Amino acid sequence: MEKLYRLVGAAGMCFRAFGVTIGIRVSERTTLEILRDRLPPGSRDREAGAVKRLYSFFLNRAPHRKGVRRFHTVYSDLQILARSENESDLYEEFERDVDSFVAATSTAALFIHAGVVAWNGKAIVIPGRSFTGKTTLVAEFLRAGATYYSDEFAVFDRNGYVHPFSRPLGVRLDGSGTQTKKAPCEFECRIGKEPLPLALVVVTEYRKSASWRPRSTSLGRGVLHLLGNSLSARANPSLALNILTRTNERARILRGVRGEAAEVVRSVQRILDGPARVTTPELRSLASDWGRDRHEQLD
Amino acid sequence: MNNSTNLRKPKRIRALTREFDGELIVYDDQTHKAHCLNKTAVMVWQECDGEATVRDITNNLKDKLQPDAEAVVQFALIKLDKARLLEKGEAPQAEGELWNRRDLLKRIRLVAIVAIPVVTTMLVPTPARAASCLPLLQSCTSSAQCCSAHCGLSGINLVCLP
Repeated sequence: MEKLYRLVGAAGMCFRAFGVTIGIRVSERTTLEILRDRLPPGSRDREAGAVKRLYSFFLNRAPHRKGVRRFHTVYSDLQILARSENESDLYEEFERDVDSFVAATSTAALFIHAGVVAWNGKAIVIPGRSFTGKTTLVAEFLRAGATYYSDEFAVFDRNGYVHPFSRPLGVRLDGSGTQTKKAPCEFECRIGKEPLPLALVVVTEYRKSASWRPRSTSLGRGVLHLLGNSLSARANPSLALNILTRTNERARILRGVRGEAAEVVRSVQRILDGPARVTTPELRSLASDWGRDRHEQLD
Repeated sequence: MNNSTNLRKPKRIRALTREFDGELIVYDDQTHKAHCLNKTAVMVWQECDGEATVRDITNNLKDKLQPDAEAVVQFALIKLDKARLLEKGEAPQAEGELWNRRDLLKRIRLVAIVAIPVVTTMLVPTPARAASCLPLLQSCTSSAQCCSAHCGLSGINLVCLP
């Protein structure tokens, strides 16, 4: 630990996000300014004190020597988190790790891996694992005029309201696995600031040439899907369930595979804008849930 | 149903529960699985106190589970046992010993749809599993970034490996 102190003793800071206190030490003072832009949304500076995790950035400024690679390193507590010749890799990894750490250890909020947008002052949560097409769907909602809340986490507070966690969208282009960061405003959107009640959970997954025929499912099953994508439910199931019991009881849960994102967005807009505007195929689809449910249960 | 089955005393496991609009979410912290029980499954599960026999449970729920309480209770117990929501040793026997599955389904088809016991299960992931991750062969700097949780050397580059 002392060795590490000597390496990164130039400057430091302490911040708190969603009830989790985190410290940063750096070997160059200028690094702090770069890191400020990468702190979790809603972070606030704190005076130095006990922290739950300490990140240490060591930027290697030794002169170049032929045949010797010069690595910069970021430590999470005493473990090496990332090591790279490219400084920006360290910042990327820090951002990813600090978000996950806050999400997994926060006792002030429940973090669900999901995309979130707002429509008419109500939150639409799209939970799902990586590569299920969440970001594409969020981007399509933004193009249709929704307010951006998050591309990564749905943050539920203790009253069951959904808070913004607005990082740039991690879009995967041309089917590659690597995410390219895109500012939400590239999609001509507004960015949400206020906590909102949950109105709709869309449990879906992209499948080539599938068509969107949503099934309305029960709140209990919706909660199950949220738990299945939660980051802290394992560590603190009681908190997770307490928070989810406070979410809007009248929230609707839609489930089904999807093809084109635009089709889902149009359908969800019609459903949220009022029953009078729901078209016949959607009503038919929702009404036939009973029949299909029964079939599924018996099989 | 034979007599020995009727005299068994199924006991529900100790788990965290919360009610959501008539359904019950049960979180088992041993297996880290969350289960959603519909109203009928909840009725049967709550009767499984380790004291009441299967026959008692059937009698207690006879009025609520018309017209075939016996089949519904049996079906619910099988579902609950499969989901490991009953303590070991107290679960009903394997379904093959009691009912032919097809016979049971035939009987249960006659029951109103709302009365069919349903248990839906989902594994609650670790934080690393729940977060966004990189697919195989994408360049990485740490194992936590990879869906496979393994960032290793391929040639001179670090990539996500199986």
